[in-house]
Amino acid sequence: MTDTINRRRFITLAGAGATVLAAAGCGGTYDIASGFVSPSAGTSGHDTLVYWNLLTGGDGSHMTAMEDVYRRAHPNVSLDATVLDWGNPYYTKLAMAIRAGSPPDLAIMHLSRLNGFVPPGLLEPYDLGEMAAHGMTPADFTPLAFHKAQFNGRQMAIPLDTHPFVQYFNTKLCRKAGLLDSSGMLRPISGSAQLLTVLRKLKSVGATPAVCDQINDPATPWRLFYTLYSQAGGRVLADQGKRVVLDRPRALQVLRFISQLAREKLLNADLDANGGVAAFASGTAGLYWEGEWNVDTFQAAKLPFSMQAFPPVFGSNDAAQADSHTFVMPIQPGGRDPERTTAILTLVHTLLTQSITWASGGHIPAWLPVRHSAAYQKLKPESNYESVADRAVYDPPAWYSGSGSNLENYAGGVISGVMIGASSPEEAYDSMHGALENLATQSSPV
Amino acid sequence: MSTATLPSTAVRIRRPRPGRPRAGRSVGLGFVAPFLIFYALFLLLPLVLAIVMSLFNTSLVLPGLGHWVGLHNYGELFGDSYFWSSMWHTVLFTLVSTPVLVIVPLCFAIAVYRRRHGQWFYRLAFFMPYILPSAVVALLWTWMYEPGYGIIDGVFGFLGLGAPGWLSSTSLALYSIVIVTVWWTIGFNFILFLAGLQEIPQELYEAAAMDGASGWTQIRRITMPMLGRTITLVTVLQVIASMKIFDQVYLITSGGPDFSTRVALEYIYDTGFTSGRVGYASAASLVLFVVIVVIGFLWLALVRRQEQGV
Repeated sequence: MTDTINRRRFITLAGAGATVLAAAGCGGTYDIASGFVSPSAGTSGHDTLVYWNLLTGGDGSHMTAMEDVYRRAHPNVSLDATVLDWGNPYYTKLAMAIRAGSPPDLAIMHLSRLNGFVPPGLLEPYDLGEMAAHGMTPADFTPLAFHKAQFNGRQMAIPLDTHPFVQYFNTKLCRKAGLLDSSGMLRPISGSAQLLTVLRKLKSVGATPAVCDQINDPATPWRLFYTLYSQAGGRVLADQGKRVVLDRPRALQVLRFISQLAREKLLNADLDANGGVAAFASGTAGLYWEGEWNVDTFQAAKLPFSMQAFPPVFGSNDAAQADSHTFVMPIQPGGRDPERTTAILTLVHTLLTQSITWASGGHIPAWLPVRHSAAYQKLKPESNYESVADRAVYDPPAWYSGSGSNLENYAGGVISGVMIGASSPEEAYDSMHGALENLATQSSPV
Repeated sequence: MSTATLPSTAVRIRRPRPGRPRAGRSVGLGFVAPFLIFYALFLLLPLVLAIVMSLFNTSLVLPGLGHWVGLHNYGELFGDSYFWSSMWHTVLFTLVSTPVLVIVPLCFAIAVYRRRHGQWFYRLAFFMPYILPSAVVALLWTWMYEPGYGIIDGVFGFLGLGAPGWLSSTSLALYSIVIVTVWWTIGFNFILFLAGLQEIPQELYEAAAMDGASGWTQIRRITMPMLGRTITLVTVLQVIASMKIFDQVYLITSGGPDFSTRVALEYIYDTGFTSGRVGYASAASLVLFVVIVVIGFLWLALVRRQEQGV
């Protein structure tokens, strides 16, 4: 894409593009990118690795820095990294590219999304022997994430991180409300009564007690609900998503708690994702509940804040909803090329060894040599919630579940109504159950 | 822009005389062949494939057609409340947007047509948004609707009104999409009306003016009846365009919040491409197709009746 495009080339490309668009029934945008613009750069040669990911913002710049380390170490390989839109659009394009026979060599995939990709045979398993030959053994990874990436004993993905739902807190406001201990950390919260007390104290000092966004972002309400519901010991789906086992008393307990937060104005949820970040970054909110990936933004805003694991609100179980970015190898139309696999594993290993860069964006590295390193332990506030990686709760396995999936969209849309006090817990439970039943009874496409 | 191309019965295509040499016919066929090939490949073939796939549980991520399921997809579709609510959103969008997109550009066209100077400016101004790609329109309006720092919120705040949740309220979001669509596509209908107005012979107005008819009477008694056919055309084109609503919704809300803006095509996209249930999505798109075809035939019937009446 670096070649300059003059008028003639533009006309040629546009003409060719129009023909392909027509030929592909308007579905060929990415084929145009890789098939028409890049051949002069040598896409088909063995010296180009195509790597797809969905990382933007802070994550995107960290990943680019990590890629550059690889590029400097392997100047003979051209690493072609393509960034696509997060969530469903990314996974749709990835599945179609694999099925159409023009997949990338390596792709980032959420661990929770493997359930839609492994059963239909879209991914190539890793060989543990080959991994070991490239310096990666099972003992080098967070065990939970590594084992979750196994299907029928085959290693389908290599985890890069664990990224849980956490609690951010504004140290200035929390100190004002008398909530910090001598080391400047929020005193441990246990149980819903203690959390309510903390929020009310924050309210009494004039702060917005807690911020958690929901507008056009159904994933975040789902993360909040699933964290609390898992702490209460509830399960959502069984039999790979064919059966809904949503537990009415437990779900209602959680929904009533969220509803109480809305009623007492202890939670400001009338925000979209950017609005949530802006509200906490402005320094007027005490707590902010979201995945840990916004740490960069708040550091850049010079906000007095810190982070910790999401507190145990129900029971003593401090489970937190989480997911992992993983590396997967899409099935190649011509079968596996050993030389190419070597190049891919070298790339993965190089990126994993850069995990400290990745960790600075908030994610807990899955690569234990970094996770256990002194450098990471010193990385604050990122390493405060490091142990959550071992008790992370992943979305229940189903073809329609996982990050940005229909499960999150259907359930999250319902929960958001409770967060702004627009629907009652009982109504929300019924619609959530109905939505899940609708998904569970659809015939599985995988 | 001075001549309008409107359906007319005045032009009749002469039938070929019997005994015309066959060579001429094959040359004609050669001329239409490129179109026919494209038409067959990209319209008829996909349609047939969609009909076939709607009878199978075809998956996006599995090779082949999948298993034969007969009419099961249709059965599931008719009982699927998510499909019907998305169909309702399409219908509601059409019912709200069509009158606005017919009446407003008609008024604009008449107002502009009656101006002697600077017509080109108004034509350009009204038509300009129409040439923008949907992605640009979506970005512009997402920023303008943005809670907190969007310009619309700013204006509402300045006027001392509380800003409603343009894209976050389940009862308002669809109307916000209507506003975007009106702004974006009003120019097309405006140009059609302007062309229709230019077709009306000037003498009629001169005669009416000599008889002392006021401007309003001229509009009511000359312009409106003479524009009848254009109004029908614009209305039906608009109904069909509104039934096909997708881009703005996909780009601005993806069907949210809580599916309150999920229109039929968004539902078809979600089930076909996101959930990978291509067979089921084909059944859904055929139902939408039938609905649009029925509306098309109603149009034909309407136009025929109008033409017989004129």
